[in-house]
Amino acid sequence: MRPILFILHFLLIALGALAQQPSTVRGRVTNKAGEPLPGANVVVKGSYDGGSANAEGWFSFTTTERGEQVLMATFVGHRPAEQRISLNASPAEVEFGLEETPNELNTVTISAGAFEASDAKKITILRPLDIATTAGANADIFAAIQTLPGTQAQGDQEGLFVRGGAASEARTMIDGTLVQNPFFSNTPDVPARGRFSPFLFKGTSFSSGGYSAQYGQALSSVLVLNTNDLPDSSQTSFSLSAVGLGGSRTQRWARSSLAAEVDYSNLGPLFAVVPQNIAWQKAPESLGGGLRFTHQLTNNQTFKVFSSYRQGSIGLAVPDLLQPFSQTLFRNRNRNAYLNTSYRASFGAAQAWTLQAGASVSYDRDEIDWGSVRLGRHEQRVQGRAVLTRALGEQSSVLAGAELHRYDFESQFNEWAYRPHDTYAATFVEAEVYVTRKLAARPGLRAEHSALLGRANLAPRLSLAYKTGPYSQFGFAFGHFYQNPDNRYLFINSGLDFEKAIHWIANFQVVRPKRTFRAEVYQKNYRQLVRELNVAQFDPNRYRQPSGPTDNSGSGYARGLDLFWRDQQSIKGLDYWVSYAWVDTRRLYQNFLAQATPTFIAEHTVNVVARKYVTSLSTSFNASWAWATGRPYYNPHHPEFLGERTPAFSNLSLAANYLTRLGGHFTVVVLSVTNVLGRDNVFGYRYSPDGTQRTAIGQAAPRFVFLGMFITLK
Amino acid sequence: MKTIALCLFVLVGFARPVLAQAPADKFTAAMTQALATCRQARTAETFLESANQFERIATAEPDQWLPAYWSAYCFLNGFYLTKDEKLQEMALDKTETWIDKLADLQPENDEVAVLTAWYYQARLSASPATGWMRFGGKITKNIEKAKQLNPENPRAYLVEGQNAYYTPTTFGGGKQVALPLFKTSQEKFAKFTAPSPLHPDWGQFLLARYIKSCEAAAN
Repeated sequence: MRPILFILHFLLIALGALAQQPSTVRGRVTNKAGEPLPGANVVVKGSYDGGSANAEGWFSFTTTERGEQVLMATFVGHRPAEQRISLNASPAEVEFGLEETPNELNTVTISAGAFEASDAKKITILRPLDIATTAGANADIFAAIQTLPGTQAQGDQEGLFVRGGAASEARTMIDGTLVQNPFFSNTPDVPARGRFSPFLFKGTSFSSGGYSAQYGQALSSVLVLNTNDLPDSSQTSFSLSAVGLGGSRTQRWARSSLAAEVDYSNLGPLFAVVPQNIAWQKAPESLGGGLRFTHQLTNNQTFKVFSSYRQGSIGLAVPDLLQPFSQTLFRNRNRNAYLNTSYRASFGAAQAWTLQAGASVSYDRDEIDWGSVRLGRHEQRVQGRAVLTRALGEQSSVLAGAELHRYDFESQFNEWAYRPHDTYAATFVEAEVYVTRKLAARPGLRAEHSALLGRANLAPRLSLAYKTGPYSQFGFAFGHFYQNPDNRYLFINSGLDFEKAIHWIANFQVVRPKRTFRAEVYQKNYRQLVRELNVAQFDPNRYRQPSGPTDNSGSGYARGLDLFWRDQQSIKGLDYWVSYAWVDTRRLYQNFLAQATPTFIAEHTVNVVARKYVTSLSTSFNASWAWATGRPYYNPHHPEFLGERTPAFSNLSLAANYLTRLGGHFTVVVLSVTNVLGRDNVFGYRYSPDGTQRTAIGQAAPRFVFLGMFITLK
Repeated sequence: MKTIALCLFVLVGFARPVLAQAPADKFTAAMTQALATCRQARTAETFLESANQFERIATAEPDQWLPAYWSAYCFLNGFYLTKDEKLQEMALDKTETWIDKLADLQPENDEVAVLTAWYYQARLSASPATGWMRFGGKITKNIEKAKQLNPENPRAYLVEGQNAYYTPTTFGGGKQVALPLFKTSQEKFAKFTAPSPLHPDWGQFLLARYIKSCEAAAN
């Protein structure tokens, strides 16, 4: 009896030990290409047991789990994979091949025609801070954009002149709605700044053509600005500079924030010190401010209000309207207000639906005395817009939207006044389809109707992208784009049709984390441009009000090549970009006598922008150099219409931003000098009526100097 | 009879360890074991292994915040200890996943706020050029939140000191600004006891090194 018991005892112990004996699981985790995924986590589902893959992807662990189990492998950026295994005394061997989830490296992005500055992506051509700190731009969004290929800075007028297009062909959008007057009021021969600070936007997307069906009324380009979300914390800041002072307060609550700011600027004291080419009678002076409110109702619903108001005045000597070769006094008092409210919500299963709705009002009024002539100009645009997007699968989506505008504009010339208005409606659909991760297409269709013109149009758009490697891809874009004719033609002829442009764009880009190369070629055909009939003599005055018969018989083309290279790697601590643009464009429109290259076109343009942060000096040094071949100008004696060219343009600008503390508060001191070398650039010539004499249209000042200090209180 | 008694004895003796593994204890045992391994970790590789171990527990126990916390903590250490950029990115992305999860599980927890601040410091160090604008506010906000929730948390002052330590003197940082914060942290550590052996208690080793470095610079 005893021996049996004894044996039984040991048998049971042995059995128990067997039951306790952990079983071994081993194997390998790789991606679909068979490359190891070191650090991948393997777990027996529902238990704590598992192991990590080593540098070669191998793993091995023991578990006390038994029987039929599920083994799961996970790794960052890959879809988790599961396998059924049977756990018993013998070791289990398992191999996992994980599939990558879509990311910036394995998935193509639609990019033809677009430059995007954003912090949301890991690899991007530009960051929002790049726009704010470009030397010579003095924190003007548009001036920074002008260092990108495809745009041409003008020394005598503001605006984005994109790929052979005039400034009126580029439009600016804030949170989806159009901003009627993104620049300060136009002053003859002096380029104006943009109204909005680059620090207000989390994302800036500049399209030099072939843009989405979501936008319209721009023959050449759209600049899409997206306002900041909730700030991290409350703060107060002040600025003091040679041209004015300002202050702002941001208050942050749990789910909302309110920011208020006010500033005053007066360039008088600066102009007294820095020599000017212009006889200022009243140096630019302005007072403005803004209120911005953001409320995050839930994690998936945000409501924003963005507003600004500014009034300013300016006075200077300009060419006389009535006697073209003499000068007279120009004064302008401007008031501008802008209000934008937007609401964004995502809802439904997996937040597959997104609604973006907005309403905005742009108001702008100029009261101008030009010698003895009184001019008034007033524009007001009220608009509403809604876009509904539905995500399809992991990547693809479709959207549909509509917008409605009421646009009132008025022009006064002494006692005469024109007050037309337009009701503009548009609707659009667009799909973003990922055929594979390497091939994406974005077809879209936009329909527009203008009550003033009494006409409608249908604009198809298409963008394609094909990925050729982890960093490289080809892109293609095509589209029809329509725009209402310039206001001064609508004043005299409301029977005109839309002006039209057709874009063809092909691009190739290699965007690495620290190096970017991009090349783009394009062909753009202009149709239905407004033409003045029976023009006997060309009048180069941009401010004249045409009065004769007009029709849509004008046309033109632009073709060219844009190159962009950015390098943050080759020279330690130095970040630079080089852009080059070649454009060949001619058009017959407005009061042109023959097909010719317009005066705002330089055939070759080069921009170099560089920045370097010197830690020991806590200073960031920025430099930019712009060079362009001469532009056409009108010489009444030259046999060829607009056949002569000005000398080449060159401008070297330097800036230094010194970061420091003032009484414990974070402070930035900015010194910037535009056109350091004082080069006397010429943008064109004005001829006397008999054509015997001419004056050069030059820069407002040999140099522009800015010294300022920005303090953030903690 | 005797045989049956003996059999019972043997069976009970065999069954005891099985009965002892009730679910709650299984969690404590697994966490205790994982923490012991984590405390031995000195290299990126071992930290990342521990991070995975905590991750396995966190996945099986989705309502528990401690395994998520320790997983994030280990991934962060893994980030700081490796020079492999791919591994750094992986570790930061993983930390982010668990930090997000912790924000849902424990929105008003001082330890989570400290770890979140430290996570943003890691993000900042990974992109020094644009990092301050993007993460600076988030770091200070979370440090303030931690101190507000629990002024006695020594790690809040440690991370605040770290923030000052790596901020250039011209921006109001530097070792001399950091030292008093580290000293405060040291005082708080002297009075600190973790609510349980599974709760966060790290920092003294790191703190001693920072204090040494600051004092060396002062002399």
